[in-house]
Amino acid sequence: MIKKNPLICIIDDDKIHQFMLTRIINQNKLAEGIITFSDGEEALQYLTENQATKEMIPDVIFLDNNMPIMDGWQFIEEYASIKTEIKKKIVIYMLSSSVDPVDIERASTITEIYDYIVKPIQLEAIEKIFKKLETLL
Amino acid sequence: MLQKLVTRNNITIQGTGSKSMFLVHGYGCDQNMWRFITPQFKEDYRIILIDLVGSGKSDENAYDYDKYSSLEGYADDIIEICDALNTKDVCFVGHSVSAMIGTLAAIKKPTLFKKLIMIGPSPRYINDSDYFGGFSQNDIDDLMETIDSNYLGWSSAMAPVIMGNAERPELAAELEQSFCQNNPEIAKHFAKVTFQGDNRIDLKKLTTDTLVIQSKEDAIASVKVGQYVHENIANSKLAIVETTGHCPHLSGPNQTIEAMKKYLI
Amino acid sequence: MNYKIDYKELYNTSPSGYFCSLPNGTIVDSNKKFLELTNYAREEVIGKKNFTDFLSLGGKIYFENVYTPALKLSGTIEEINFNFVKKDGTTFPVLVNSVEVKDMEGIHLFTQSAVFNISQRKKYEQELLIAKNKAKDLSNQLQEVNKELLSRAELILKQKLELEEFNQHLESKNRQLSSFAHIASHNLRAPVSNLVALKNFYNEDIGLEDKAMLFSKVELVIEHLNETLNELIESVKIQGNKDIIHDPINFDVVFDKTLAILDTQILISKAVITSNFSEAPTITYPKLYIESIVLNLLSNSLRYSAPGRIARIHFCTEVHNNEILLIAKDNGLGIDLKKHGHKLFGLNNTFHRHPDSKGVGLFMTKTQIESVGGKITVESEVNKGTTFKIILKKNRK
Repeated sequence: MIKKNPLICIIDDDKIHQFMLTRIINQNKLAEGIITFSDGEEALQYLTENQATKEMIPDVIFLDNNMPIMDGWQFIEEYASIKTEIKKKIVIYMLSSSVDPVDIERASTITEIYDYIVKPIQLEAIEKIFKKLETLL
Repeated sequence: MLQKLVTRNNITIQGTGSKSMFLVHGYGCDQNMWRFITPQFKEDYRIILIDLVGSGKSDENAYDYDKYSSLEGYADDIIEICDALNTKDVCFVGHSVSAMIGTLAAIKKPTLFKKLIMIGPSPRYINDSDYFGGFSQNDIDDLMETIDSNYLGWSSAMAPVIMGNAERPELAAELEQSFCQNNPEIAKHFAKVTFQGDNRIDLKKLTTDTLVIQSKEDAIASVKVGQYVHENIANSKLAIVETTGHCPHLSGPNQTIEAMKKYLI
Repeated sequence: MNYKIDYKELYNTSPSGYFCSLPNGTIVDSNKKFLELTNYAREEVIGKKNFTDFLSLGGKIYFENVYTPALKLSGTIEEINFNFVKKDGTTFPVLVNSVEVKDMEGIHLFTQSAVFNISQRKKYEQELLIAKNKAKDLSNQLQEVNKELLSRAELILKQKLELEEFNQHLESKNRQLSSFAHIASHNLRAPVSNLVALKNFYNEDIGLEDKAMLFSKVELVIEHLNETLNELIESVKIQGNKDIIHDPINFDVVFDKTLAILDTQILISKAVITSNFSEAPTITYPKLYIESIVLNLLSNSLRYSAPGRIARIHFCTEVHNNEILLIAKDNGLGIDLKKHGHKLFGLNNTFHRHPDSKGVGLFMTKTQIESVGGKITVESEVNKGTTFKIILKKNRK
C-alpha cells in the first residue's frame, strides 16, 4: 500500500500560527498539501461546495477554537450537520491557546473532535499526530 | 383664626358697650366664677370671658406643658385674644394668679389695657428671706397631694366615657353641672406654676393704671401681700373689702362690684 | 305602729360627723361624732372654730380655690378629700359632702357638711396607687426595651442591606476578576505562544534571510501583544477608577462634537443621522467616557452600514424609572446575536469580514459604562439593524 500523505486543512485566524504550522509540516514533508482558512464560515463554504469531490476534501483539520465570525465550536456544530454529505472521514484536532479546563471538558464531549491540543504545537507532537494518522486513515 | 381661639379658650362674649371688660379666673376654677359680677356691667361693657387653657371647657389638647410652664404662656394667649378681637379701651380683671398673667401681658404690650383690676393678687406664695408669701414648699406639696386625691368625677378611665358619650346623657348632664372640674394632671402642673412662681420684679415694670381689690380676711393672699403688691406698682390704688375668703367676687359680690364701680368712673 | 323619732338625738348619735357653718366658715353646730373624730370638746368648737381651722395650709388653698367656688356655684359638693387636723395636730383623711342651706329669698344661711373618716380606705387607695405606679413603670420599661429591640432590628436590617450591597460589590469584582483572567488566558496566551514558536524557529539552523523574515513576524506579534496589553491595562484602570469626576454633560454638545470628528466618514457613507435628546438633555457623567461611548457607537454604525441602502442612524435619550437611557439605533448589517451574542463585548472580537473591524470598541465601552454603575444591552436582527440601549445612571436610593 502506497503511503499517501494526507491533505491538511488549517482553520485559524492567527496568521502567524498558520505560517508556523505550515512551515513545520512542509519542512518535514508530512502533508500532501495544505489548505488554510481564516474563519470557520469560509471553511464551511469550501466543504459544502466540494462535498462531492473527495480529493478536495482534507483528511485532517487543525481547528482553532477562538476565531471571529464563526469560532471553532460553531464550525463543529455546522460541520456535524453536513458531515454525512461529505462522504469522507475527517480527523479534526481542536487547537487552542487556552488551557481552560472548561474548554478541554467541552471538547471531550464532542464526537467530531478527535483530540484537543494546546498551542504552540511542537514538532514532536506533530510527528506523533501524523504517525497516528497513518493508522486512522 | 378667631374660631380657633374661641374653641381653645372657650371665649364667651356678653353685653353691649364700646368699652371692653376682660375677666380672667384664677387657679382652680373657670369663667363661671364671674357669674355674680358680670350682670352688673353688661350694659356698659362688652364683656369677654375665657377659660385658661387647661381649665374649665378650654381645649385640653392645647395644653402644652412647655408653653404653660411659665405664666408668660398664658400672657401670650391674652395678647393673642385681644388682637383677634381687636379690642380697644380694655379693663382687664384678673383674679389671683391671673392678676400676674395680666401684669405680664401689659408689660409685653403696654397699650393692651387701659385699666387693670387685680382681685386677691399675689406675686409669690412661698415665703422668702424677708418676704411673707404665706406658705412653705411643704404646704405646696401638701396642695399637690390634695389635688391628686380629688378627682371630682374625673378619673382617667371615666373621662373619655363622660366626654361626649351619647348613651349616657345623664353623665354628661352631671358634668355640665359640676364646676371646677379640671384634669388633675394639668391642675397639678398649673398649681406648680402658680404657687411656685415669683413675679415680684414684674410688679415694678407695670405702668398700667391698676386697682388691687383685697379681701379683709384671705388665707391665700393676705392683706400684707395685697399691700406689697400695691406698694410695688407705681400707678395703683388699694381697696380692702369687707369679705372673707380668697374669692370676694363669689363670697361678697356686692362689695366687690361696689369697689370696681367706684374705680371705673 | 308609730315610732317616736327624736331627730336631734338621731343627728347627734349619727355614725358620720356633721357640722353646720356660717357662710364665712364659723362652725355654729356639730354632732358628737364630729367632735370625737377631731378630738375637741364642744365648747372649743362651736362659735370658736372655722372650717378652715381643721385644714392644713395646702388644704386651705384647695378649700379657697376649688371647694368654695364649686359649692357657691352649684349649691352642693360631694366627695372632697381633705386631711382634717385633730386637736393634737395629727391628721386623718376624710371625705366631705356639703350643701348650702338658703332661705326663701335664696340668701345663703348655713352650710351643712358631712364628714366621713376614710383612714382605711386611704391606706388601700395608697397601696393601689403604688401598685398602679409600679405597673406604669414596668410598662414604661417594657416600652423602652421594645423600642431598643426595634431599633436593634432596624440596625440589623440596615447591616443586612449593607452586607448584601457589599456582597453584590464583591460578586461584581469577582466577575471582573474572572473575566480578566479569561481575557488574559485567551488574548495574551495566543501571541505569547506565537512568540515562543517563532523563537524556536529562529534558533534552528536557518539562513539570514529566513531569520529576517521571522523577525518581522515577531514584530507583528509584539505589536498585537502590546495593543492587547494596553487595552487590558486601560480596562483595569477604568474598573479601578470608581471616584472619577462626573462633569455636567450636554448630549447635543457631545453629539455635535462626535459628528465633527466623523465628518469625513459621514460624508462618504451619505448616512442620514438624527438625534433627539429632549427627554433628558443633560447628565452628570465622566466626560471622557461619554464622548468615547458616543464616538464608538456612531463609528460602529457607520462602519457596519448595509450596502445597498441609505444608512439611517438615530441617537436619543429616554427616562425610565428615574434612569437615564442613551439609545443608538441603526439600520445596518445587524449582528446574529444567537451566534455571537455572548462574544459581543469581549476583547478583540469581530463579527464581520470588514477591513476595519477590530472589535476593541465595545469591550472598552462596556467597561466604561459598568464602572459608573450602568448597563449596556443590544437588540439586533441580521440585515435589519442594531439598537444599543445604555442605562447610564441607575436609580440610586
